[in-house]
Amino acid sequence: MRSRGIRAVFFGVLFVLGGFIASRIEFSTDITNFMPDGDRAELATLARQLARSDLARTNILTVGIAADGPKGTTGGRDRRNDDRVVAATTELAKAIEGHPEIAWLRTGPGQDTMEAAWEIYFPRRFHFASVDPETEIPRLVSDDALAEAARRARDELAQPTGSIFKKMIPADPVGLFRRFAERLAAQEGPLKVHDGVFLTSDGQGVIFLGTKSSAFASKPQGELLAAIDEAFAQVAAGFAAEVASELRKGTAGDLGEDPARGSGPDPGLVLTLERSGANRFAVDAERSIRRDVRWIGLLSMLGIAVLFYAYFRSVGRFALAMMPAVAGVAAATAAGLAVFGQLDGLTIAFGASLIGVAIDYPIHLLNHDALSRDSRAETVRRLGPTLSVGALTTMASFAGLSLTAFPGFQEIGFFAMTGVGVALLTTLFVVPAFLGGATEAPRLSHSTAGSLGAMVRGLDGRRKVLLAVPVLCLGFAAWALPGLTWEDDLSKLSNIDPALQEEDNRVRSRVSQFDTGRFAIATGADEAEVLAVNDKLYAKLLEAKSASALEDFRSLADLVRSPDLQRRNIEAFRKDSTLVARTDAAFTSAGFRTGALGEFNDWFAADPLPPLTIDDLRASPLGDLLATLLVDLDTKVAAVTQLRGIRDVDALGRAIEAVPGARLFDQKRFVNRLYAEFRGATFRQIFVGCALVLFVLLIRYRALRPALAALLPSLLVALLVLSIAALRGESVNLLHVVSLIMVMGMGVDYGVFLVDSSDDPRGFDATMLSLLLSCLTTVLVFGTLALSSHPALSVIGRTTGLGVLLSLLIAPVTLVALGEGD
Amino acid sequence: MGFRSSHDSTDSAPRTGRRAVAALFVLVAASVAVPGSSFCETSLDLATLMQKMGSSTGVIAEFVETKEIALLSAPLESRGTIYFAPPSKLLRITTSPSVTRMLMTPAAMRFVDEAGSDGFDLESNPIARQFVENFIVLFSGDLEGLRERYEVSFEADGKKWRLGLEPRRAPFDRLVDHLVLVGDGPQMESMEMVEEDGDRTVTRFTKTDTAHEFADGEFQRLFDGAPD
Repeated sequence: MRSRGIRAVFFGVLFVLGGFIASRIEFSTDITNFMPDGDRAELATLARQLARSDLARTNILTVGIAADGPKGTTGGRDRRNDDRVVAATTELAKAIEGHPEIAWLRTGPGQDTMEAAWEIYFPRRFHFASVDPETEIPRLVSDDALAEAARRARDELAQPTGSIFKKMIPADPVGLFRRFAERLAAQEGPLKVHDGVFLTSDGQGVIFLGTKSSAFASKPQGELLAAIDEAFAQVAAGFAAEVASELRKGTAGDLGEDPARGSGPDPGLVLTLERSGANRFAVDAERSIRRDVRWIGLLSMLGIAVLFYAYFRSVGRFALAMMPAVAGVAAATAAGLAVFGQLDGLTIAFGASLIGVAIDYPIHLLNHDALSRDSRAETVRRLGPTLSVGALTTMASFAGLSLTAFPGFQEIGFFAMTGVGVALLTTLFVVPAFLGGATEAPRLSHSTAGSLGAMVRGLDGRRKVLLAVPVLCLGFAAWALPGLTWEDDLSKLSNIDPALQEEDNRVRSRVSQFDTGRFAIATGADEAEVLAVNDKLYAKLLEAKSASALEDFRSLADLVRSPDLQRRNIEAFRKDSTLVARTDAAFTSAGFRTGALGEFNDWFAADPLPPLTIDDLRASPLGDLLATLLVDLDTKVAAVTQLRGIRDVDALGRAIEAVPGARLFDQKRFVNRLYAEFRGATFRQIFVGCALVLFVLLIRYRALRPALAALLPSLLVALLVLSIAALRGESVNLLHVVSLIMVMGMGVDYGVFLVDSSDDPRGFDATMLSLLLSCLTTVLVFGTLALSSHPALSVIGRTTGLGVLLSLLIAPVTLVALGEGD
Repeated sequence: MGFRSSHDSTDSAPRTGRRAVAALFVLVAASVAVPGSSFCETSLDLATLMQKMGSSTGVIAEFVETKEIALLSAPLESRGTIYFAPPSKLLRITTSPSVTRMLMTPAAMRFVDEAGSDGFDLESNPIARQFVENFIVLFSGDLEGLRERYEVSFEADGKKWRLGLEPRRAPFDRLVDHLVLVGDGPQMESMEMVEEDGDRTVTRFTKTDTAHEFADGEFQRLFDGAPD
């Protein structure tokens, strides 16, 4: 009856926790949680915003014609093929634009873009003349410069291109708009436009589309990608039918096609689709992980079923063994939500892994319950202190995480400690309620326990020899560890399909000319402030460009500048009272009629237009251009300048940082540095955690030797795992370190279990079997991940699998070596 | 024959720009390319003229271009040579008042003056593309296409002929009021372009070779780098 009550309460509590979690859970992947200080937190927010921005959600599709050759080759660039590509691109765009996941879709610049640029900027040509008006404008309107402008204007009128300038000269004799427009045009990128559709230089049609969901939301992204595949298959089928039809009719080549090349379509022509987008990698990674996890999970479950059936005559015992960990994760999630308001996805992922340590407790209990002659209550009472110390030491090691400066790590620490605590309580008070009547261990359990116990006891006479084991381990570590290399580029842990990556690179290089992941950033408290900083950054980048330190850049200042700078430009022109007369004289001397510059003169007499604002631009057809150039950082605003052809990243970074509020942001370097800091912090917390664990053990045992016997296995295992990685030439990363924390927690548990049962031969035998079962279960649950083709899963699997196996071997050895096995 | 000359002035001209004007020179070249060998003494009709335009092997002609522009106190004069290689490559070289070189195809144009090269894609501008298509229609002898694009008037008196073209389609019709091409048998003598604001450009052709066959080396030297 009491057990039934406990079970009811347990399920009731789980139900309540589940309801609470379901109502409150809000997964976030806010990397700022893992930032150590405010300064870099701003960059992290920027990284996050960039990841959420249109930039990361943009998919690029290129539709081309391949002459039955390798992917990416074109079927020849001519007008006929361009027309075909444009038709196919338009058809594909129409087929997918209504998909619910597509937020926007563009195949061309839009009819009104050029008109809008003219309407906005020509009347403000004086506003945008210079970023250093006080210095540059007097030079632009010096007598010599005006004479040169007049000569050039006259020469240009004589050219076929004369008509374009003819209309502008009376209003803009100095050529201010032309300067501005040329700067804008230089950034247009490699795309051309054919019948209103973007075409790459190798004749591929381009579709840009933005998704509503994050690129990493694999379900909606997978559906979208499948829909695109389906739509393209139909377009390609239509294209093939058209080509076949043209071949049958022997249709002549259309306008512009060289008759010498033959008039009909090449029979081998096929339509190709290539794509670029972060969502493809996310979906591919998810598929690959899911595939791996499916068969590894199957293997794991099969192994566990065999193991539990062999030693407990019950597969259901595995469900009981998992119960404390499940309850721990549920309680920790609910507590985390209550304390922090929300939990980061990384917190839950890492925290849940750490709670995996808790699988040791129920296995130890189940095993002793089956092997012991004591009553269940007595077994629980006897094991209570041992399990409690095991849990406390684990919590102490995780407490180190809470002492780091990373808010995210503090959350993980809290999460893991809460989870382990609840797992312990579940093991001691809930699991027994599910055990039913007395259980008798199968003969295999008895024989294995006896053999393992005898094996350890057999070591007893070789204590001095065994003392060499820790020494040898330390020596091995001293020899191997200097060769350990660290890999902080976690992107190398992703299992990216090289073909997918190549295709992505190919598509990006066709449509974009700027570096990815490297930006100059200007930040300010509001849009007015950010424009002022960005103006100065722009001037600095122009300097860098003229010094060949930078090939080119695309800045918000190409579109909008601070009101103050725009007014200073106007002022610089207007304060020159002789400018109108001097300009007139210069142009008359060059052959222009007197008074030909009437519109220029009129500008000086009229009130100037107000400065262009971000809101003006936002409301115009050019507003879309702001999406990737202006980013909201919650408390600040950032202007993002895209860069190309940086000669020396560090030198440019120093030059940029000379502008207050500006900096160079190299996303990859930043993230890598961040991971390096995580790794460092995690290692520091391991040391702090070890000290706390030792403190708990000293309190428990009130003697150094048993405390060391319990702690030493985990320390040696950590050193050995890292040394073996070094010896194998395997670079170590954050995932190794986090996995190591779990392994060390288990190592301490093994040590504590052994020390606590060392004075009871029958209990010791049972403990040895507990360790074996715990080790095998961990290997089956975590270690089998080593078989995954996904590098991140494989790292976790290898580290955990090797670690627990070594723990199983070393814990009894150190126990005996330190004389605790007597 | 009276050509209409009243169209509303618009601001679109600066946006259509040099590509449009450049394309007009293609039109000029096409007009020059009237093979003369089969011209007969009887009055020519438009269909025959168009048919002959399509059969040129290559054209070289010297030109003198006079621009009467309201902004300037005196007309501007340019001199140079036009080279045309069927089906679609045109090179215009000026030698006076400055040395320039403009190479164009239906896909792109490359202009080089003393300051350097300035290439751009004609197709990025639908107006420019329309210009080029207009030329292609003329060159290919597509009379129907020509009539779709222009109000066409044609007069001939023996070997003398006069082709009047008045753009029908926007935005070309907002730039150019009309064109008049005048020839004498195989020779294209002049082209006059009157813009919507009244500015005129008159190009006179001399030393016209309408059946030029470009040698390989010559073709390479002249048209190297021309996009297809």
